[in-house]
Amino acid sequence: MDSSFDADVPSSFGDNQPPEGSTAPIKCWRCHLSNKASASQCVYCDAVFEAPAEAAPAEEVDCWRCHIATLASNSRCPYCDALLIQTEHHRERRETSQWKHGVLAMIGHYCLALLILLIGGWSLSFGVHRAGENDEAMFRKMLPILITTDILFVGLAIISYLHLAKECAQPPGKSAGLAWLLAGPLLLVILAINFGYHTWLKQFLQLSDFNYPFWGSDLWPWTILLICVQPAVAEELFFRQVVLGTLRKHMSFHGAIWVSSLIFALAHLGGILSIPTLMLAGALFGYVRAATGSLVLPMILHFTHNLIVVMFF
Amino acid sequence: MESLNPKLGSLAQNARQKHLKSARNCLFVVAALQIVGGIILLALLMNQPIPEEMKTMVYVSFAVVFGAAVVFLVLGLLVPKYPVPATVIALILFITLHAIDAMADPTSLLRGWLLKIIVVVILVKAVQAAIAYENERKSEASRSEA
Repeated sequence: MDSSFDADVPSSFGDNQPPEGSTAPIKCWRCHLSNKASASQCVYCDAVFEAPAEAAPAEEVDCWRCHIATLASNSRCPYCDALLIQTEHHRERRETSQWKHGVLAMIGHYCLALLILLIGGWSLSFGVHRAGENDEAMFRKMLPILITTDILFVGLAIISYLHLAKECAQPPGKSAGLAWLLAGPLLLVILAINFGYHTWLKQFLQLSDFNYPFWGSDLWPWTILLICVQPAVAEELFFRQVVLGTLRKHMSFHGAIWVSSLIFALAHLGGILSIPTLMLAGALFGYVRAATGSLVLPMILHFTHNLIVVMFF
Repeated sequence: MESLNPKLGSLAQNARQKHLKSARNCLFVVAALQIVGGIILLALLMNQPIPEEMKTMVYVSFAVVFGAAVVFLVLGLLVPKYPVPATVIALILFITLHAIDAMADPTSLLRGWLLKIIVVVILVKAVQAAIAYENERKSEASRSEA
């Protein structure tokens, strides 16, 4: 027997395991004789020693407030004193506030869009007076206000998208081919309904018509840009990406599409009577957006819809 | 009623159900206000001569006012079953109707501004409660599945 094993074993090794890195002998739990610190088995009675557990690396977490890494065992961040302990209640509250954030922020952006449209509408109502001019002369007068409103709305759509990019992310589409195939015929059906409804509405309410300058007018590029391109790009980005994407996280698939199309229809403040046809068009664009997983086809459809309305209605 | 699920008995859940109830009541109040406002407007206009060409538009306006009242009433009834869609639509509809009103007459924005703010705040609270409620219902369902 090695004489060094006869040395007194410190009694502080409560579980018979020496501290990490220690070379002190360990006492067998069965025969109480001393063994080498590195021994895995007692040389006297063959009792198996438990291998000392490897020290796990200290877990670190990023502080939610200052984002500096700190030990997970800390109850408070040593840098900014933020409370780090995450109870179930805290976690739930944070998740809930994230959920809330998306929908309410989206509604806030919608209110800003309404404000832009309201200011544009007021400017048109009180700033541009029809003095016996035809529609083209009227459109020429309205042009600066329309351009400003459109620029503001495009800016808002981009800001909304950047702000809610995470909340409004949508899953990839699963039936893009079918959507490309059916989108054209469905758009024609919606245009036919649109035409029939508005023809009836004009006769029933004896409404005067406003024709955007297109055929034989030097203003046609502005008509295309302001009435066809801008809505196709900015409205699709706002309603089919930001609004629909945010709602899809809180509602059923069909519910989100119809609610977003209702919001799209309501946003057309000047055409409250067109809400039914706008909703149908919005729903088509929404389903196409979901089926293709991209905004390209809804943008093309929206552009085509508006172009046909401007050219022929 | 679906929202008053006895299984979910936590304090937070009770508070949310209270919010949902207040949202539903708020929608009923908004519907009642729409109806009362429409009746008052109708009474005022009946004493004044309406030009023949304006008659159809006036009738359409009344249809919109009373139609909105019916929509708020229906949304109030749907709050327990579809809390998020009903409250979101109600909030958006309320804001948009006043925006449409303000488009025609900007001074209408200031008329009854305090009541409008109170209703908007209650509806925002209702949307928050509905989302929290829906969230909790989903996690409850996933827990019971597991």
